[in-house]
Formats: sequence, structure tokens, C-alpha cells
Amino acid sequence: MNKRTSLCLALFLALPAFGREDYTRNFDKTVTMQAAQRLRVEHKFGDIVVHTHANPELVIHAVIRTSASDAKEARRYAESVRITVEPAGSDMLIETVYPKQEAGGWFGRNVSYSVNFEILMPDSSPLALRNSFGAVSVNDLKASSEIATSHGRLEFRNGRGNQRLENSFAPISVSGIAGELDLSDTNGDIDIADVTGGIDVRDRFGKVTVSRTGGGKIVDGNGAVRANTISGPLNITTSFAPVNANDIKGNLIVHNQNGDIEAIAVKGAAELLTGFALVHFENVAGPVTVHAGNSGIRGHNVQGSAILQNSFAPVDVSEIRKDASVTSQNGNVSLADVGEGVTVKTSFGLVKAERVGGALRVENQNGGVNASSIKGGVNVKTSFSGVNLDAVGGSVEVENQNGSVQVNSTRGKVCEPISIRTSFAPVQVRIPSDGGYTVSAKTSFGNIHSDLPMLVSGLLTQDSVNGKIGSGACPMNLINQNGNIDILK
Amino acid sequence: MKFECKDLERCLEVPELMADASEHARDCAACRRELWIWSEMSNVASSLREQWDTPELWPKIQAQLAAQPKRKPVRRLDWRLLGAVAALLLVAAAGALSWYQTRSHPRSAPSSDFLTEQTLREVEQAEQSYARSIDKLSKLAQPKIENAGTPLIAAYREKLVLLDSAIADMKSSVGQNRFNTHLQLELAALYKQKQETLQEIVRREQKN
Repeated sequence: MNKRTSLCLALFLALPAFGREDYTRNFDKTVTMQAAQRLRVEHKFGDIVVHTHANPELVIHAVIRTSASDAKEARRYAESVRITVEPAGSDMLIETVYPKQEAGGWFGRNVSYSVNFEILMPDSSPLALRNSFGAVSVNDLKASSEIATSHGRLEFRNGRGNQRLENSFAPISVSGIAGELDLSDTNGDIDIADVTGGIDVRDRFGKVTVSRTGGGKIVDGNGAVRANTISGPLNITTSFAPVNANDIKGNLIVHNQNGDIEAIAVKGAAELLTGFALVHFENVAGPVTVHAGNSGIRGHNVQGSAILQNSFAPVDVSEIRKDASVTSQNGNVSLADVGEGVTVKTSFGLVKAERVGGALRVENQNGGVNASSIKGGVNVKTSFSGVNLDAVGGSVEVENQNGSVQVNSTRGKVCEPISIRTSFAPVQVRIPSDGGYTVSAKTSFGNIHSDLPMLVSGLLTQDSVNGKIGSGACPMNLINQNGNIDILK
Repeated sequence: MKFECKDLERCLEVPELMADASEHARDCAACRRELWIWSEMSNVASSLREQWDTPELWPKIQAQLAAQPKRKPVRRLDWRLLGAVAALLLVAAAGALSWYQTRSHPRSAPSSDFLTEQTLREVEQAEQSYARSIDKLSKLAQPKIENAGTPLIAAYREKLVLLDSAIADMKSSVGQNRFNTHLQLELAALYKQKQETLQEIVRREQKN
């Protein structure tokens, strides 16, 4: 049996009540508060439940419970617990004062106690409440509050005005606030729903869940953050835990460390930063910026541009309405359906680009490049891997080493310049049969072949050809070493 | 209706007439003075009110609050909550039995807020055993915590410091209120968190 189970069992099962006497005393007091007078509560060792009404009366009901080795001591201690209700400055103060305990003396280690409050207060009075070692629940307060507790659950329901809530080592649950919310917890989970104003949330090691609130800030140390339906910009910071942001009606900034980021349906711009984890974005109305060290990036449907940086992991994005820029290392890069130009810088990874509305520029090292349906020009630099370009609408410029190059230009009558250089691998260029090029092809230890008729001029050798195909309107420069050159139709 | 001095008294019964009274008081010095006195009395009255004991009031309020439609609080069932509920039920049952057996000696009903002597002894023994287990885990995790400089270990280190501080605070409170069930449960929860944190550190280290 593990320790937790044995502790539970000890709490649950071993309960024959002997040797202890309990005593219960009620405290009931009613006092009229002045309009908008603040209520202050200072308490510990017990729960506080606050309700409100539209009347000026403050109704206090407290249950004082004590436990001691004999009835007399239990009663004596209970009678000694003081609850004061009195004006303090401009506030009305409720305070619990426990008798001082002295080891071995009266009220020594044998007495235990708790005081639970139920308070009915004017709904328009601000509240300042401090508790420890007990839960706090506040309902229907139509004024601002400052509530701090520890080691007890904190619940706040249906409030109006600005609320500042604080807890440690226990959860906070908030719902239904017409106002701003400032909330902090240490090592307790936070659950917030339906806040019309902005939010400022801080936690250290707890999970934060926020839904249907105004924009704001969530700063967590090491806890997961989940934000859903936020009506303004949102800024999230955490580490070693995932962040999920969904339906953000403003800009979204997420700074994470070693935790996944998921950003879905962002109406503004998205700035997403993490490391050693996955970044996933979808349906972003503004631009997207991602910095993800050692992390994969996956994205879909961005109305703005995308600037993506990562390393040692793949990038896979599609439907970027404006331009896309990817800087990666040691990771495959895949882009599809980009509205404007694409720039990719990477190494040791395959670059794949499909259906690009503008130009494509790739700087790779030791990685292949596959591109198709590129409306603009293509500029590729790589080495030790193949380059395959299909259906390129603009000019083509490829610099490769030790890798094959295949180009399929489909522009038809309107030709575009082609320049290809590689070594130790074949070059194949496919052009329309009515294309017009001035060809300069040069290789060593390889053959030069053309499917299309070419009007050749100058010196004719096996590894060098200069000539014209059709009108010869565009330059085609093909340079290879130790590899064939094929011009195909 | 034309407001006259004789209508002033009626304002106390019909507050809607107050606007007419104020209008009338602009030109009538006697009524103006009367209204000023009323206003001053009203301001002073609230501060003159005293507090009073209302032992019979809360049950009525409670009944009204209970009659209101209840919102379901979001609660997660975890072992602490289950433990607390079970403990409450069992303590209440044991208390009821004890009360039944000794009803010839009237006293207050036993409260679920407190542990019995025997329960406390067992809880304290379980806690000591818990603490010993944590000490062993701490020794296992200590080299990793001290030597590794990664951000994750730094975060774990910070969490452990936070938990140790909370455990110390809680122990101090428990020392003065040993039979308080809530405090003992909270202390147990802190021990559990510390144990889980140490286990995570050891597990991660084993993975690496």
C-alpha cells in the first residue's frame, strides 16, 4: 500500500470518536453599513461564504467550532474566540481573534478550532477580504473587491466592478464579472469564464483556463494555459507546458519555453515563440511570426504574411495569403498555396514549395528542393541534393553542387531567362516546343542533348554548345561539370 | 399640481414629490430649511445606528438563499476532495454514534471539522512515513537538482523551495491546531505535491 493510500485510509477509516469533545457556538450580528462603505474581513482557519443583497444591512453568521480533550476546555476556548464587527477608519471591519495559545498551558496543543462565516452584505459595498487556511466564496457583488486567501479554494461568481483576487496553494474559480479582473495564484489552478473587462492573470505552477473574457495578459511559470474566446489582444507567457489559444479577437503573443503552442482562429497578428515543442497555428487573420528553436512548425490559413524560424524540426505550412519567409536548420520545409513570394533558408532538409503566387527564393545546403506551380521566378542555391522545378512561370536561376537539376518551364510563348549551374549530376531542362532561347551550354565529361531544333553557331564540341532555339528571345545558360545536359520538350 | 408648504410632510410618504418640493424650496426659505434638516438627519442617522444581535435572522436568510436557483460549481474530483467527503461522512457518522451513546450527558454535536485522537495519531504516523519516503526521494533527486543547470531543473528547484516554505508554514499552523481536518488535508496535499515533483525529476533523469 503506498503512502498516499495509507494517509487517506487513516483519514477515512480510523474514526471511532473517543477522547475528544467538540463544542459549537454561533455568532449572529447585524449592522447597518453606510452607502458604498467598504467591508473588510480579516480571518483565518475557516471558510467564508459571502452573499449580497440590495439592503444596507450587513448580516454576519459565524459558526465557531472547537475540539478539546474535555468539554469544559472546548467550551472555554470557543467562548474566548472573539469576532469583532466595528468601523475601522472608513471601513466596516469583521475580524476573528483567536486566543493566544501557549504550549503546555491553557489552550495548548490539545485544542483545535475553526470558524466558518456566512455573510450577507450590501451588494454595492466594496469588499476587502483576507483569509488563510479556508475556502472563500463570493457571490453577486456589484462593487470592486480585493480578496486574498491561501490554502483554500477561492470562488467568485457574478460580480460587477474591478476585482483583484489572490490565492496560494489552492485553486481559483471565477465566472461572470462585468469589469476588470486582476488575479494571481501560486501553485493553484485558475479557471476564469465570462469576464467582460480585461484580465491580468499570474500563476507559478498551476494550470490556467480562461474563456469568454476581455483581452489581457496571462503569465504562468510552469503551467499549461488554455484561452478560448477572448474579445481583445492576449499575451501569454509560460514554460514547460502547452498553450492552447482559440478564438482570439485581437493580436496574440505567446512566449513559451519547452511547451507546445496551438493558436487557432486569431483575428489579429500572432507572435508565437517556443523551443523544443510544436507550434501549430490555423486561421489567423493577421501576420504570423514564429520563433521555434528545435521545434516543429505546422500552420494553415493565414490572411497575412508568415515569418517562421526554427531548427532541427520540420516546417509545414499552407494557405498563406501574403508572403512567407522561413529560416530553418536541419529540418524539412514544406509550403503550399502561398499568395505572394516565398523565401526559404535552411540546411540538411528538403524544401518543398507548391502553388506559390510570387517568386520563390531558396538557400539550402545539403538539401533537395522540389517546387511546382510557381507563378514568379525561382532562385535556388543548394548542394549535394537534387533540384526539381515544375511549372515555373518566371525566370529560373539554380546554383547546385553535386546534385541534379530538373526544370520544367511552361510559360509557352513568353519565355523567361534560365540559368543553371551544377556538377557531378545531370541537368534537364524542359521547355515548350515554341519557346525561344539563346542557349549557352557547357559541361565536362558529359553529353549535351536537345530535343528541340537548335541553330548552332561558333565552335562545335561535345561539351560546349552555343545556339538558338526558336526566336532566341531569352537567355538559357547551362553549366555542368561531370554531368550531362538535356534540353527536352 | 402646485406644490405648497402644507404638502411637505407628504414627501415622507410619497418620495416622488421630492422633486417638486426641491423646486418649491428654491423660493420658500421655511421649506428649504426643513428639507436641509431632513437631509442632515438622514446623513447622521446611519452612523447613529447600532449593531444588534440577530440569532434568529440567519436561518431565514439561509432558507431564502437555498430557495434561489443554484449554480453548479465546477469541481474536479480528486483524492483530496473524495477524502474530505469520505472523512466528513465518517467523522459525522462516528460523531453521531458517539453522541447517541452518550446522549445522557448533553454536549455540542461533534463536528466534521476535527479529527479524533486516534485518527490524529494515525494521520501523524502516516505523515511521518510520507515524510520519510520524501526524504529518500529527495536524496535520489538531490544530485540532479544541484548539478543540472537546465531551465527545467531550475523550475523544479523553485517549485521545491516554494513547497518547502508552504510545508513549513502549514506545519506551524497545524502545530497550533492539530485536530483541524482542513489543515491536515492541506498538509497532506503539499506532501503529495512534493513527492510528485521529486518523482518527476527522478523519472526525467532516468529518461535522459
